[in-house]
Amino acid sequence: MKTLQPDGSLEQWTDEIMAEGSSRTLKKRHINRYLSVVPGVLILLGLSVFPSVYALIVSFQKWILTDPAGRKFNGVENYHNLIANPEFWHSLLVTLTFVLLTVVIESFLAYSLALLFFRPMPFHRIMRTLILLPMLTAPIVVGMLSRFMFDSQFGIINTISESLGLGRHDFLSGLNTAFLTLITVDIWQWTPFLFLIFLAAMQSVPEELIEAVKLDGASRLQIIRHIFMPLMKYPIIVGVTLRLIDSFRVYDLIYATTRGGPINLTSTMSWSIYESGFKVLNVGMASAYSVIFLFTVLLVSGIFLRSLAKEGDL
Amino acid sequence: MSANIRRKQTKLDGFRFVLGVLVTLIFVFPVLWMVMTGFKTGNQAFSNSSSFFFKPSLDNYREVLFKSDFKSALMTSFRAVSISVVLTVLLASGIAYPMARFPSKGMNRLASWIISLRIVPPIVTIIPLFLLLKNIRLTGSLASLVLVYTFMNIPLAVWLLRGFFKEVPREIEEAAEIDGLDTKRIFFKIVLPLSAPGVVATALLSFVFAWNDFLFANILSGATTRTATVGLTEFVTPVGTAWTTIMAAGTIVVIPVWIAALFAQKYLVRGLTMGSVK
Repeated sequence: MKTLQPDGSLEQWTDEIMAEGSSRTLKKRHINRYLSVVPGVLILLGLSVFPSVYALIVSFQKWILTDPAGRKFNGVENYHNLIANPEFWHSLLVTLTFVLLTVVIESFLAYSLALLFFRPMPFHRIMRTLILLPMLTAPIVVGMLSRFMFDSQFGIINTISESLGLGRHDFLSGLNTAFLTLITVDIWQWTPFLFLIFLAAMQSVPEELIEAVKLDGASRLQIIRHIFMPLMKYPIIVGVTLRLIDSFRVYDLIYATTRGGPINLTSTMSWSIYESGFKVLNVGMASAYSVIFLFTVLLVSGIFLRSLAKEGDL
Repeated sequence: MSANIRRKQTKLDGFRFVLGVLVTLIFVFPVLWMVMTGFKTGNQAFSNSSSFFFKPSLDNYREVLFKSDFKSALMTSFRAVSISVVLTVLLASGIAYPMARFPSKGMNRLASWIISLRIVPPIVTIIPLFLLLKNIRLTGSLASLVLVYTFMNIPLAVWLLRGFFKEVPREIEEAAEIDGLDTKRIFFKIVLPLSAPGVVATALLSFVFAWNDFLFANILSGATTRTATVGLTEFVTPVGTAWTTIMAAGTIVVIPVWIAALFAQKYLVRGLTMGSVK
């Protein structure tokens, strides 16, 4: 690295003059500019590409950590076993249902909430801030809190449900309720996230534009459809895509509450991979599962990202 | 007639207000319940008569902070997360600055690749990573946590910082260049101070994401390096679950995040959407 002495400016100056003449110096200068990228990119490469390749290799091996026989190449057997296993298809279904239901309901609720809070009302600032609290609470804390509040004996939700005449329920362990309870918790926690994004987007719509179309006699619905919707398309796609990506990840909540049960009714792909990798210690199988999971996420979010790329400058 | 419309408007506003309060209550109540339970004794927590009105006690906090291992878990979290935040901001600046200042085709391609990393679910990364780290005996160490948190936050930080650095007027940098400052000095003496609020917001958001992590910590942290989020789940024992203690511990886990979010409020939307919505 060049030391910057009082004559440093001169050196740089001549550098620049020379650069005009010789493309080699120019190239060198250009590369120097980008040198600071290296350490960060190395970490990213080291912790993404390297493990991915490793996972791909392991997915073609029979490797159970408790098995003294060690690891051995077994071709596509892991994949074959997975696809032949109805539990896998069940997990896929649970995951896709979870993702679809949470994201659709959250988007709808968040949009309605954003409309509700769009125009000022008394205390709207403090209310808006308070609504963000669930999103700012660590998912594992939300998980523990859910387990406490939905408890079948002493949970406050059961007390409320009973006093409303709705009876008591095994919210987190009932066959019919566990999955829906998890969805409810997810909606409670993440609707604020989309609400925040949608509201910010709505507020960036120029006030004069709304006033102008109002004067032209546009109805409330028409304003939403023809002004808000087109101008908010990009933020909506960004927000929903991020929720989609994160909804696939649900793990903390399940760890704290149902652990995949009752039976396997809340066993999402994330959870199944964790179980086969860190409980059964069948890392070969877990790796094959991860590869399939990654492609599922890529496929579903890719559809969204493609429309995102069309909209913006990604 | 206009009076009629106005009356209808105020009626609608009243309805809007009531609905707003109700919705806020739904989102706040569980959190409030957690904080309140943290101040209750076991008897108060499980009796219906003292749901909302009770004599607050600090016993749970005493238990959490002085009698259990939770304090050391908090320290581990603070250490791992702060080191990783410093690394994140440094390394991400190294990528984001040239990206903002000297855009090129290659740089744009790098930016797209970095954002695509956001899609990969952590459970997919952690299995091979766990196996690799185990080989070099790094599982259970603070270093492994620092490493994954830095990795986890760099993409977000790059995208945010790129936006903040772009907002620094180019003329100032050009003037400095003519005065003979090299890129490194321009960055540290001019760009960084000028984009300080954005850099701080990036650091705060990186802090939040690393602090809230449970999956990586659950798998990578060992007996001596439990993070706060892992420590929280360990109040559940086969003998019984100390719910009031857990709620106090949960409140402690959540408070730094709330404070960080309060400071970064202005940049929250930008941070959560990786700078794509301002």
